[in-house]
Amino acid sequence: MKLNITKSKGFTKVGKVKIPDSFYNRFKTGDDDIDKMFGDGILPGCAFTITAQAGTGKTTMMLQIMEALEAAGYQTGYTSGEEDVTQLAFTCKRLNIKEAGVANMTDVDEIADAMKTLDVIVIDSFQALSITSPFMVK
Amino acid sequence: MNSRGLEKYACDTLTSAAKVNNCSIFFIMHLTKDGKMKGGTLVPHSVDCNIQLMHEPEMGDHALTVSFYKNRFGATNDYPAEMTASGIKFSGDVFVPQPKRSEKDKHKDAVLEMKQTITKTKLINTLGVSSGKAYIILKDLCDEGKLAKVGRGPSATFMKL
Repeated sequence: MKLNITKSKGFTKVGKVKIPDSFYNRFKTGDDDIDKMFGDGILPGCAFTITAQAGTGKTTMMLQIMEALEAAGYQTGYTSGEEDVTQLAFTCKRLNIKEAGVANMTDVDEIADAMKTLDVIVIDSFQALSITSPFMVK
Repeated sequence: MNSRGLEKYACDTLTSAAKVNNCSIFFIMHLTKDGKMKGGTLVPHSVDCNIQLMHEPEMGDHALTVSFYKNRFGATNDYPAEMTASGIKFSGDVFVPQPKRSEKDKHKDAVLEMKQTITKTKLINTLGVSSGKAYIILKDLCDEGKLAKVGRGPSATFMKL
């Protein structure tokens, strides 16, 4: 169920473009309220940004959504550059979250590699990402 | 991750990996002191959906709003939520902000709901407003065409139209 982005030459009539099934099979969390907020589930391959003032609940909100998605049978990952895995686990214990996958990856290429086996990934935070690619580092 | 080039590399690599692998991606972003997103405008423009979580002190100590202010494949709405000890309690109902009503507007409504004939003295007694304020409320309602003045001076009465 991949998007198959093909770079064809020239233009195609938009009516003849085949829309992949994934657009009609959104990731449903099973929680009606969360699904309703995201428009009947999270669209596969979609990119989101989450912003909030410090201490409002970004980490809590994302961990809860990850837990709901795991319970619905999806592979999820929460990679944090701000907190250690043990600190995340401590937060999760308070929120009664057990299934969400957590890691401490910050390297962009490593994360892109890990995304091959995941359905949803959360990056906490974008500013904590690092790049070790030989093409980018002088 | 300060340089613009590195920001672009990270954003491009991750969003294209998301599209190729059919994996949805959430970026948690830092905010500046002004409340704007840190960094350039590249990330908010390249992604499909921007979500802001806001604390609403006016609506209660633990009230939150989940605001979708850009959504390419869905609706841009605000949703109320509540922070509890066991996490955030979401609500799928769209949040509709109520327009703020001033004290004067509330008094005007009270005047229009009065059943007997309306006089200035009656307003002062029932609403507990000063003589000047009662005069302004009645004048405003007459100007809006909701009341008609009959007679002159302190004995004037007002009729509903």
